Amino acid sequence: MSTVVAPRTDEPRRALRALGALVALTVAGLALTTDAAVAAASARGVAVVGIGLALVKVRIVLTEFVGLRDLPRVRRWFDAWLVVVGVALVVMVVA
Amino acid sequence: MTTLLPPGRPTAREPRRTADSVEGGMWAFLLLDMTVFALFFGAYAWDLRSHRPAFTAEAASLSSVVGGVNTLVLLGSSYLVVRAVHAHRSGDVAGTRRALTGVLACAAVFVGLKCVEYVHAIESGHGLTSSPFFSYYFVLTGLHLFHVGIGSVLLLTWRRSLAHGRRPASERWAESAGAYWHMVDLLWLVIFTLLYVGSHR
Repeated sequence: MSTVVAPRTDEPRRALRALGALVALTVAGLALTTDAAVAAASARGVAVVGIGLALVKVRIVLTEFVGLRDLPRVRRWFDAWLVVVGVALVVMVVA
Repeated sequence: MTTLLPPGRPTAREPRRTADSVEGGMWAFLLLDMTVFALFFGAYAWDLRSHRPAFTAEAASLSSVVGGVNTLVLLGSSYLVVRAVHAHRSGDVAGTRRALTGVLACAAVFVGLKCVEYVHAIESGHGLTSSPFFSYYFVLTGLHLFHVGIGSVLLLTWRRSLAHGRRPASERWAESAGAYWHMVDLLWLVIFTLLYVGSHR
């Protein structure tokens, strides 16, 4: 006997909400390159905030677009990748 | 006999998506590919820390607006892939084809803007070996562009399979092609941040 997950009927709606969040985070990321943001924060601060925003966006793509929210075992591997890459990048930029 | 599970939170024992899903091998491949890129990201961050003034000066010649537009284009394409996979699962051939046409149009816009950026950089005297920053820029974005090409071929193959009289791609195939495209998108999110945002100033 095999089991199959039925397609989610709310998938496109959830994906649209995720797209809205991703666009907002991208605009926030672009705002970091404006003169005002550059004047308010250090170059390293801008880089760290930018990396943080990027990792949040990657997580949203993985859970909402790729659909890993329904696959916790696979999601754990990708979350581990995100944590390792995120920590390594922040440490290298800040240290 | 097949038991249809309702969508939602997974049960205590995670249901295998058997024949209708991305296979373990594909997940491993995606993770491996992402790890190769992660090594480049690490090397870039290391050099950025060591040579920040030089990297910042070189990065100033990149247009964050063009990078931002390309990011939005790829995000839109990823959303359309979700629509395409959903339509494919529902048996909506016309809807799948429409969504895939949109994705391929987004891919064309992305490649077009990237080419404009390359021409501008080369005309300004930058090249693969002109400076460490532009070495990273051309290698990272070039590798990514190569992945965009592979993803486009996969999506085009999927779309062609939906033509009248042909055997449609399996659900597993469609989901794997979709997952590959999402990986292309999420890798760009990090590349955009490192090259266009993180190296600013």
